Amino acid sequence: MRWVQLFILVYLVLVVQTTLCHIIAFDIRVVGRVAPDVMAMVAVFVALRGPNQRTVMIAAWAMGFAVDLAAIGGVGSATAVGPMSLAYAVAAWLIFRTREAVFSNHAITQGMLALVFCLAAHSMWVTAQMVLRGGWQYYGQLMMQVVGVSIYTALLMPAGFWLLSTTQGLFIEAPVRGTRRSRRTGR
Amino acid sequence: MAKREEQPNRWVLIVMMALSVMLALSGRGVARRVRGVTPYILGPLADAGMYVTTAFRGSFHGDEDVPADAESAALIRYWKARAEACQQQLDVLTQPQEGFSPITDLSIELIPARVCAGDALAYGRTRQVSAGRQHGAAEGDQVTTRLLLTNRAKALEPHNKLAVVTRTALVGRLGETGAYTARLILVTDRAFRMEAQILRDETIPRQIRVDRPGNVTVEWISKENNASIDCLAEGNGSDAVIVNSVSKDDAVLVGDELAVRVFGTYHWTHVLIGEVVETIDDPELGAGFSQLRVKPAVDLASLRYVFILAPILGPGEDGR
Repeated sequence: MRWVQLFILVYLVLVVQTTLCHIIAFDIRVVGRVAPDVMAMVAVFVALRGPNQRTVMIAAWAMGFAVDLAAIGGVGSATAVGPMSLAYAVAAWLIFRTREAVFSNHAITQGMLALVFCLAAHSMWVTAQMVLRGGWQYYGQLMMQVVGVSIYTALLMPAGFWLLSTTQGLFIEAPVRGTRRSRRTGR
Repeated sequence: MAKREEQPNRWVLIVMMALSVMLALSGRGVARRVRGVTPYILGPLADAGMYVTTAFRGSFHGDEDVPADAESAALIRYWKARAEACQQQLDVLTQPQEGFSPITDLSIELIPARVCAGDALAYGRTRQVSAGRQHGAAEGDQVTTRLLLTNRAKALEPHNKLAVVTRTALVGRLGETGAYTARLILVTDRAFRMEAQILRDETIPRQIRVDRPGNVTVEWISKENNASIDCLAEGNGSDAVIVNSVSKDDAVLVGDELAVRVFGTYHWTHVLIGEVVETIDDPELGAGFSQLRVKPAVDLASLRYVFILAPILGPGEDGR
């Protein structure tokens, strides 16, 4: 994993998520406000293409921490920092464990994995915030919103996956293939 | 042969997870300090992104009140200003107890600020604004739009600048306030709660309950008996402000306005929050009470420039 480049990517995605994503956000009467979680798309991509489990979880933790820093409201009071980084790491572990069983180049699979990731991470975050807040007001409404956000993210995931695939070499090290000579000589 | 990347030390992951748990359990005080760095990290890139976002959303926002050309808009602004000036003078004359009460003139400083970034997740309806304690802003300050008012503000004498507050719309109040930035809690956020007043439209005929000392009567609404109704405004986390527990005897209808009181030059004046778009039976109190759904007066998605209303207080006074 190329960590410096990955952190630059996380920073840029955070900027996009706190600004430009508001362009494509919309309100649904029974659900509430719905906007895509672009950082989750990056986390799913890294979970599918990352070299090993710990690297994937550390990268997802960093992404979740970035979201934690910029996700302040929504549960009736200011939110605590920490639950999203944990939730991202756990959700990334979940995706990593299932990646061998799925054909990740298919758009529907990518969308389904993003849906699972968002449902897991966001519902963990909402639940943790409610527990830390000490009250369950708005919980039902927030869970409806979790479903809305997850579906929206899943719908955009194939496009995000394609974009990330084109720049994958910048932040995920490709396996080094030996030259013909090294393969022949074994060195 | 493919080279396999080595797994990081598992203790790195364990420490990171433990850090998350500790931060989560340490409460909002620590969260506030940790988040204090976010505005500096996001910085100018987010500001540029927010400019694009508000410009884009603003261009798609259909506002029926906005006239087609600039000349008509200027004319409307002029006549609105004139009408307000007349109304203020009338209020001063007809409400001498407020105009000449022992309360000394409490002025408000209008701190200009810019919306720099939004919430990272869809659940929160907050914005980061480019003014903080160094500029005079403080937690709890009300925040209004800057639309309609700039030209008038220029035309007025500095000590009369307060008049410009009167017809702006409230967009929220300040939450955590740092040295140079602050968090604006929009009126539609779930954390937004504020005492407000319902202003009934006298042009819509209706019968209302009028409380007078000694007796309660039911009368047709008129300028004399149309008192504002105190209530608690709360954001619904989406696109509206909710007012619960409004008695049906008060006969609040669609089209009435929700406003908050701000201290003006001589007396309290109202700043609009929005317009009632729906009234239903209160889900908790039943058929005798209404729940109002209020649509904010401004498009919050395209909000870019705001004024923070900071009371100018003497030593020992606390007006926030």
